[in-house]
Amino acid sequence: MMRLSGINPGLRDIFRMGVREIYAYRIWLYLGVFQALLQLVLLRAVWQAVYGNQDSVDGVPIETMITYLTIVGLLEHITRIDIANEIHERIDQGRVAVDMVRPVGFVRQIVSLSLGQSAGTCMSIVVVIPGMILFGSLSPPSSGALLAFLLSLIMAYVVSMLIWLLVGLSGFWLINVSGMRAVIWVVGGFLAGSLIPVWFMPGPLRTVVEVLPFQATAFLPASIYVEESQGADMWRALGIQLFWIVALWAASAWTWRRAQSRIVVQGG
Amino acid sequence: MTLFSICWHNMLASVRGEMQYRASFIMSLIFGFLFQTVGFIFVAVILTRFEAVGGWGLWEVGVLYGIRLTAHGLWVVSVNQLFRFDQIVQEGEWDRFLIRPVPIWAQLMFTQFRIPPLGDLISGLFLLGIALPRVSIDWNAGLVVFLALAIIGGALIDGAFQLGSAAFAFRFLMTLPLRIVFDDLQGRFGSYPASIYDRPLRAFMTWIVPMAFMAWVPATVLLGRTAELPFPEWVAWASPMVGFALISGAVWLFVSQSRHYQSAGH
Repeated sequence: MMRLSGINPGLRDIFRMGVREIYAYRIWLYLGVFQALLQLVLLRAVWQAVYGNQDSVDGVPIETMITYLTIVGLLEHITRIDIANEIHERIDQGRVAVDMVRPVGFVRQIVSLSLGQSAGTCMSIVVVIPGMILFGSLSPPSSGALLAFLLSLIMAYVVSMLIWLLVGLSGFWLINVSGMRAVIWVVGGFLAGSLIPVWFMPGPLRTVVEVLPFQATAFLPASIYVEESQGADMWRALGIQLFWIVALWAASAWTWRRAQSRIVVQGG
Repeated sequence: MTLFSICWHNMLASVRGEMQYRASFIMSLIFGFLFQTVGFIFVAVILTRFEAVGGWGLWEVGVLYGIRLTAHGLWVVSVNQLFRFDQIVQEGEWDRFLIRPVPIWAQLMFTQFRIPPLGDLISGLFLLGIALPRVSIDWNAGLVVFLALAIIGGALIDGAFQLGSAAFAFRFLMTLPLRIVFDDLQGRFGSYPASIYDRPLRAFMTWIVPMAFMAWVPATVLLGRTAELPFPEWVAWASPMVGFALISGAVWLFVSQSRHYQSAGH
């Protein structure tokens, strides 16, 4: 069991609320599972068609490619964080005023809720992983790479959380973030390497990917899993993730400080 | 006032309403455009590295993708109230649809003008505009009419599944997940030549959820690729009819389900 005793009881309850929320609206969880598997089936078909009769392109065998797509799909499923929407709804309905007077910080409440939702979503891997093995492949890497991957997975989750927190906090200025959220969801997903691994991207696009944090949420951990980045490359990948955690953390702390003086309460 | 002028005034008023927030209006358009073109950028990036997907070159897939997106855009722009249909039923707003002296189809189409779907339509037309001149098509009047009908037929295929799913809102109140499933199938799988899928998946796309008729089949006609279809060429020429047939079924389902409506009151 997770030890939650040292944590503020309020936050612990919010976390549990997040878990329960996922089960209260199960249909969305089923839908997420369905979408993740559907995407994998499609990407596999497209990539197999692209490879055609070649067994390997640029030294990347089709099997590695399929494992890559499977891992990225799995990562997307479990790092799907709806924190921006959560913040948006609170600002939109003026509930943020009530949230702010609670004895624990607003950002902490939101993060706890989000962690709870993720914990709820994670339960679905009992279906997702067998499904993904059926439609894709998860051929396990060496134990060293697996260990590095698990570390990388946690950092990917944190980066994802921080990106969505920033998007959510921008709602204090923009009020309506739904359009931006949808775009970041698809464009960010693309730049994270969820459709094409960065090694197959043309030079200019690769530069764009490398200066943005999205690759830290999917491409970097997945390339560690399929052992396309090993040794020094692997350490570099982990380093980039760590850099983004620090940078995004600082950015969101700064944004949050400024957001507090921007609050417009719309009734509520 | 005639039906036409009522609808026209309604639409003008809502466009004026949307234009009050000009920045948000422009942002919505840009976001819609970006959202829809990422899928094609994926294809474009792949095809700069590899020559073809299932024997189709970049601009051939572009034509297919453009047909799919334009058809989808045409539907979501036209029947723009359907996207919040669950809410309409849940909150009893359907009462108002029933008592207004305007046909229901007109209310579903012309109550309000929504901006985001316009992004779908614009990006579809944009993609067709750049892809069509870059493929070799032996144009004649028949082919132009076929393309127009195919896009309308495609819109009706998309629409049939959306309307058919929405019909269940009268009984089950929540249909959004179902509509997302169809939207996903259409958006993800409908954008590639179905010849790349393995047999069961292709059969599913052709005969069960016939997304293949939305873009793949019409594109093979335009591009002279009907040889790769699993049925004779005349079936491909008749593909726009699939949309008309499906929408009739969906309308029937919608009307028959609407008898189960229970008002939540106001």
